Amino acid sequence: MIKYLIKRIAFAIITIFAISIIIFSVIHIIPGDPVSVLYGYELTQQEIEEIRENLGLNEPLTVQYFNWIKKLLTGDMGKSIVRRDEISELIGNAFPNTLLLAITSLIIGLLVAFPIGTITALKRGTATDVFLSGGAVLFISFPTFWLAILLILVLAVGLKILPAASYNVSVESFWSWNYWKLLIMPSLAIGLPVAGRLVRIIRIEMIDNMGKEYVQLVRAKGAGERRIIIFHILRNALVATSTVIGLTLANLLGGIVIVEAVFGYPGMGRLLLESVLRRDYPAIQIIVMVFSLAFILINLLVDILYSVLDPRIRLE
Amino acid sequence: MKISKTSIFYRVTRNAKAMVGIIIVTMVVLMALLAPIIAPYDPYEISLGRPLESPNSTFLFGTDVLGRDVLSRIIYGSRISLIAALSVGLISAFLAVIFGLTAGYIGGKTDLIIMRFVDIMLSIPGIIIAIVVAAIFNPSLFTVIIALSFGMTSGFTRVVRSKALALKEETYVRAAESIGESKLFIMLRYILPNTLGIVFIQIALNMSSTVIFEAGISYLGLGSQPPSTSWGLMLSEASQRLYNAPKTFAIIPGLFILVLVLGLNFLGDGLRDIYDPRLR
Repeated sequence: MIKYLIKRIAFAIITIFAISIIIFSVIHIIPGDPVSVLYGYELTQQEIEEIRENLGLNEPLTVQYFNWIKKLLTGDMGKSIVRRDEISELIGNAFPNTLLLAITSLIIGLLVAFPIGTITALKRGTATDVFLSGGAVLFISFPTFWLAILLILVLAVGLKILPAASYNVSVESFWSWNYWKLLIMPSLAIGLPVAGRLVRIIRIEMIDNMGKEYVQLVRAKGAGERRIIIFHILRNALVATSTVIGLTLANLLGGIVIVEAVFGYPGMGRLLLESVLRRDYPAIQIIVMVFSLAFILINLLVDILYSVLDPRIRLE
Repeated sequence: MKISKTSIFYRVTRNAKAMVGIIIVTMVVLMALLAPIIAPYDPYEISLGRPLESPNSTFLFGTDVLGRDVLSRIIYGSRISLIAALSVGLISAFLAVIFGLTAGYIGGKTDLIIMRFVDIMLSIPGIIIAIVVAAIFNPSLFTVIIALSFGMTSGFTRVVRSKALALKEETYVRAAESIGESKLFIMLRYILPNTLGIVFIQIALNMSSTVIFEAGISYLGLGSQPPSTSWGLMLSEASQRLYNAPKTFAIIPGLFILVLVLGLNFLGDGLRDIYDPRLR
């Protein structure tokens, strides 16, 4: 098992570096010199040259790359070209918000999906199953941002019980009801489609497990039906579900970016979008790295969790 | 006319999900193909009516900010979604089959190289790729298609590869190998036809993801640009005016996206039920 872990971690690290190379090269393929674009109208050609020299822009690309990595590893993310703020500050403000949104959405998704998924598995083939499974497919097919718009229309414009935009979110107001009011709609918009996906996986896994022999054994031992469901089947379904959470992550991330745009929620997604719209390349590089890193890390954790839960994997 | 009871045609038409999916998708395709005939107005012509009108007898879905007929724009919008879906679906299928079959059947070093690449690509969420591509090049439907093809190919390749790995052990493959058939011949004659089942399923699912993605990216302004009739773009125009515009403006484009995606999902699910009925 230790060997497996080491292999996975090593691979994750290699992947992160590979991604950093890809992102760096891709951003620097773009023609056009950032310095003259920004300052060109204010400075003379010589001054521009000096600035380029200072920023190390005249070095060959490989050297620039290593400088960038070196700085990153020491925590210096550089300045945003457009906003003259430290990028690390921007990310520091945005990241907790997005994290909170992600966790809330995931919790909603899980809370909704597990009961419904279990019911569809137990009642498979009946009208309840068809209805609930159909509902799951329906929610998967919803464009996340449209769900968000609908929620706004109903709850904010129509019934006026929730605010439509989430500009004033900050971690300090965490304990106030205001904060949660702003969080509900975005989390629902992201969480419900996620729940749809989870329902289907849970259903398949539970049906799969229900047919296995160990269930008959436990039943023969005289255990009650409910105990069987909760302790044995659900536990094994959990294993498959944790891998699926890793897969759902991609959708979660995509949903987060778009939903933050709809609500103006001040998180990493909105930061990325603003940087892209303003062509703020240093920021784009870093933010994409952060996203990829988070993605890889979570996949790694899920893999480890999976190997812990399912001893068969450990022996490979 | 005698239809064999196990033929694909028979099995597909007996599956409710797949049939519903096919019907929905066919209707949208017809809408796209017959657009010039069924659309009442030119989708790009502005100031046809007062801006932001609610649906009425002249404009069945109302008008948008620039006075364009929403119904005509919706009808033409189906073309954008379908073009995106078809392009990404076919391109990713083509690449995934080539890479997946090679990696799965040939194996060895080629397999390792291809799969490392795939794993790295899979580590970057698709939407990030699309956004970065939009940051670098001038965003358009074309850039969206390229970015999404990239994103979808990796997962698809993995699926094809697993199937190829499984098929490698089949008796008829072993038999062909033992009489000395070339690897290429075996791949094309034996392995490829048996992967078509999952390939079609995956194409349907990829197409449904593409429609949502294209709409989302255009919504963000990083995909189809105005005056394109992309449904996602229409939603972005609507969401800026939620308090002022008629509610239908924000609901209708989304509804159409939902229906198309639902159709494609049903189709994919139906095909999957046929292919692997245990999981029903």
